[in-house]
Amino acid sequence: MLAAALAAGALGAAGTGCGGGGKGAAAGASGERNGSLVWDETPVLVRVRHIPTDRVLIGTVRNDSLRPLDLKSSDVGVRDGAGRRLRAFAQFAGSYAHGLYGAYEKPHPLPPAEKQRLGLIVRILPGKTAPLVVSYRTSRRDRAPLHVEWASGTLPVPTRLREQYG
Amino acid sequence: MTRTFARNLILAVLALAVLATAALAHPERTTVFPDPAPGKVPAYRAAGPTLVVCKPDSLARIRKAFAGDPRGMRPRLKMLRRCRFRHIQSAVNAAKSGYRILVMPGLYREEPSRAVPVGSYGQGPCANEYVETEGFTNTAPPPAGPASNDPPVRPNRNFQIKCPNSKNLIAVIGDPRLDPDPAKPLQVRCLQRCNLQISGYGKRPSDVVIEGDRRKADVLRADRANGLYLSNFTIEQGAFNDVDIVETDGFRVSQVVARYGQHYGVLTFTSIHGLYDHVEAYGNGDSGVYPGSGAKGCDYVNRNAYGTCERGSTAANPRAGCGTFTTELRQIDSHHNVLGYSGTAGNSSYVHDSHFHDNNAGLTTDSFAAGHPGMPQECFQWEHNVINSNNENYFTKQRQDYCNATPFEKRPKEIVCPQFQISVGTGVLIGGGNRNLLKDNYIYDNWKWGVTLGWVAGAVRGDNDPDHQNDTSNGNQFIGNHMGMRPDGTPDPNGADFVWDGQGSRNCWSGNTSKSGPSHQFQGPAPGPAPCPGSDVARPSDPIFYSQVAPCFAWDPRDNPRPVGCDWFDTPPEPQPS
Repeated sequence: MLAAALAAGALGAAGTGCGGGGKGAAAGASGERNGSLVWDETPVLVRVRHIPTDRVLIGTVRNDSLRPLDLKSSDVGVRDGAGRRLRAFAQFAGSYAHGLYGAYEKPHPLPPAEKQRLGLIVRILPGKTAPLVVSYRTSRRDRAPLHVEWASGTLPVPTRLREQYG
Repeated sequence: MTRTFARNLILAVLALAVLATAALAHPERTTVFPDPAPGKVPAYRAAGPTLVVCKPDSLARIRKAFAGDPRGMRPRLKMLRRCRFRHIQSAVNAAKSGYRILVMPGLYREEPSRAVPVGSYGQGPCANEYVETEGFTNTAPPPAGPASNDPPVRPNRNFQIKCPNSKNLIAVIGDPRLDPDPAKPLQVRCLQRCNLQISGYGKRPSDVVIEGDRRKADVLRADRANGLYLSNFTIEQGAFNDVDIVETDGFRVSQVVARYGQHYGVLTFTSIHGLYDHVEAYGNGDSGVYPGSGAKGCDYVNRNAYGTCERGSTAANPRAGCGTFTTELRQIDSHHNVLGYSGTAGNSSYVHDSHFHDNNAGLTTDSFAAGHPGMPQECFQWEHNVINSNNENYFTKQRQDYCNATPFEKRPKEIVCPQFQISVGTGVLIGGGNRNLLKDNYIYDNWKWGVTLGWVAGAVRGDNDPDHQNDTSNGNQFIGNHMGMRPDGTPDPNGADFVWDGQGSRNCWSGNTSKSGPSHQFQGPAPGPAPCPGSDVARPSDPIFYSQVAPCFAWDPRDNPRPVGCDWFDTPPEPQPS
């Protein structure tokens, strides 16, 4: 509980930009490593109370490579063990944000600075971290295990499920 | 553990600071606070130089409104004989500082202003009088870098001076000096049309109706118009705001009905010494009333730079440094909006004896948008209000489908289309606020959350300073509120009286009573709400709370009206006492 809370605090500190503070020891908390992006600590997986099919995965990722990583949240998704892509949305943000524009007045595409602030794009320097939250919808057809996938690799989804308040 | 957390925090934020982001901004032009020293809330004037505006049917309307009231009718008939203007803007243009403008009963559509094209960046009028807001420089790193051909720009102050009726049906421009560099506006001054009083001269606000054209952003814009007094009319159908008061020292909005704005009923921004009273706001797609980017009531060196009212704050008295209130709202009736009240960086507001009901959410204040001077939010005092039944739902599939298919100009005015996502069923939401006091309010029948307090990182508002990342959600007090019960004592539960992500220091809850039932009194991590005085020990935010809000960021009425993982847009079941 406390560890999870601290993780949330750390990812919150990273905000929507690019993070730092890689701890190293927690890399690939599940023992799995695929690509240059790893979980900095085991992420928290939460079931949405009023939408039981939906999950929210909250964690911090670290660039374990020697080069900066430029990531788009739209390139981050969730895939099941059979390779089927689930409906998902990702954001590199540690606390809630909202955009500057009215719902029907957004420029398309959003300006890069706004994307960066909202965690829709991020640059992670080598050894540094960024918060990542991924929400996704499950179904009975899903085959375990699930993975978060990004442009150049995957991240494991933990199996331990926590419940929202209520 | 605390050291580990602190180290992570510092490292994370330092890394953030390494990567400079592009300039921050806001859909409003770059604005600054007026000097707080000279101003005050203007008083009503019953005499003085006066201009009169009327319509051909004003006489008939007066006779109808004041039938059987000769004492009320007589001065109106006398004043009607002095009418020289058919449009309010014409009278404003003829007015000098200190004038009164009396508006006789009638419908004011401001046809000459309507004839002025709205224009846009690169297209007249004032085609080039725009300032870049953010991202125009396209400085983000590859691969997600420049792609937009739709630069996010906003009219600058020179635009408002040169083309006042392009985007405003009525414009009161107090400072006619052109900015040599619009990105660095001149210090705020009012040099003309200061202390103007624009008052409907009917019996009630519905006797004078100022109708927006649903294309121009503001129906009435006051820009550096110090001492403005608006009263006794109805104003409606702004494409952004019905009333918009910017960089103004001293204003009062009294006995005004503000309705059917695409976004806001009454919005004030970087203004000070303000009073909203007896305002009814409804049918607005964002907020009924919005005292945003409010001046702080405490002293610090540069009001237009980062600063807080923390000095003197202790656990026993976290509000010791708050100073004075800078905007007061009283006798507000805000209902059937998406938000009854909102205020990003809504500092030092005093909201009391008001009613916020039947909105999607009652009141929110926050620190989670960029470009709002006065961050982070702090020092409100909201007391003796009734905040209830905020369970309207303008996010139904049917409504969102309709809103997507029908542009604002073509919708019936009564249809509210949400411009901002909020959890349906919320009484009060504080998203990153400090040293606020919520006291002695009746808060009931909000089916999701009664009062929610959550932390917002500095980076989310575009502030990457390492020292500012944990500067919200500290020193808030919730004292003596009546939860889950009507003023007559009848139980009427909230979904959860109080929700807290657990983050911050010096937050406390004392003396609150509840009839919501034990299972509806608190949601959040153990050990739950701390009694006053709160603890000086900072605690981190609970990810479970974050899981309840994060997915809803993805809401977009066009592309993603029902985001995965977000349950904000289904009306919660009505809670029963338990």
